[in-house]
Amino acid sequence: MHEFGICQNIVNIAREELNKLPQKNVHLIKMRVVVGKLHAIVNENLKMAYGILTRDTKLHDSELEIISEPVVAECKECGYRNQVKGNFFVCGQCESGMLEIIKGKELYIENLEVEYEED
Amino acid sequence: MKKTEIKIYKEILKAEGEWAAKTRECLKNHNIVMLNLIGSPGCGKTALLEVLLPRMAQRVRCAVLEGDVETARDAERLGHLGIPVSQIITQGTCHLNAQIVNKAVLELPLDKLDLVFVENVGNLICPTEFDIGETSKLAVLSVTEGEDKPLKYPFLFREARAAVLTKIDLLPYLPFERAKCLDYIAQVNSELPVFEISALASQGLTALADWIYVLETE
Repeated sequence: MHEFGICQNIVNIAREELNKLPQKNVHLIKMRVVVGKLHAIVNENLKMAYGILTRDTKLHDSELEIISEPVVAECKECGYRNQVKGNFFVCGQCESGMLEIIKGKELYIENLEVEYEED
Repeated sequence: MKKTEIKIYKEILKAEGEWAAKTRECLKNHNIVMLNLIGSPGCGKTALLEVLLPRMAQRVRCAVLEGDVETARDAERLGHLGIPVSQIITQGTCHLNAQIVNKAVLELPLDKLDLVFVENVGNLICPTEFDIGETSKLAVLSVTEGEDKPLKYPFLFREARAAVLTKIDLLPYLPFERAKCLDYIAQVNSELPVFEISALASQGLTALADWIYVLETE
């Protein structure tokens, strides 16, 4: 359940960002996070953690949207890029195992969708 | 009410990463290598340290940070070795975090050390996820587990600089298929060196120690 530790960071960042906004009565509707598949995050667990960690807080009725990014590797020998499927870290062209991961390690908050009171 | 979208692109583990960077910088300044041992509960991490430390302490100055959810039993097991051992109790958390490790590292006699072993909490997922400022991660896997662990936990075997296969003295008594396990490791990370050891029978320790001696700080 590393989703809880990760989610605690998500909630902390969201709170900080919301506090920085100059608008009044800001309310978070939705937050989009991008998660590379190498992190082995179970989306349902992350959402469950989000529900628990935001309960009775300002973020309590906001939605967590999770965008999963596939693992993509580039072969260090022939330069071929392909998606890693079934944890088979082997080049799809020359079958070399010398791969550099170029996608799939993402772990960031992309945006916050908020509503606020107009002056 | 007015709606708007705010793009932020914030790394989720940025705060952790900053603590890890501080530790890494500090270790670099003292020319200390720090190894982060990651493996399941019972895979033999402490047993490995029990046999590796007396051997290595003759050549390099070592210390250990012991991470456990509860109890100081592992630190007690290593207490007689005469090297600095500190126990970090995470109180339920399934991994060591960068801030706690930073504090523990700063409390070590850094001017008198070359090598710090961190025994992370027994778990293959969470400790891989959280950078603690180590020089390298070491994946520890025992022959009493399934040989397909590398396929189930590929992130660890991708992030680690080496894998240690422990308890190999038990191979004759187990259905564990060694060749298959090595194939799975290679499938996930063909560049990963694998050290096959037995703590009980003192097998394979020289090769592992020699590999550690030449590691350099980042």
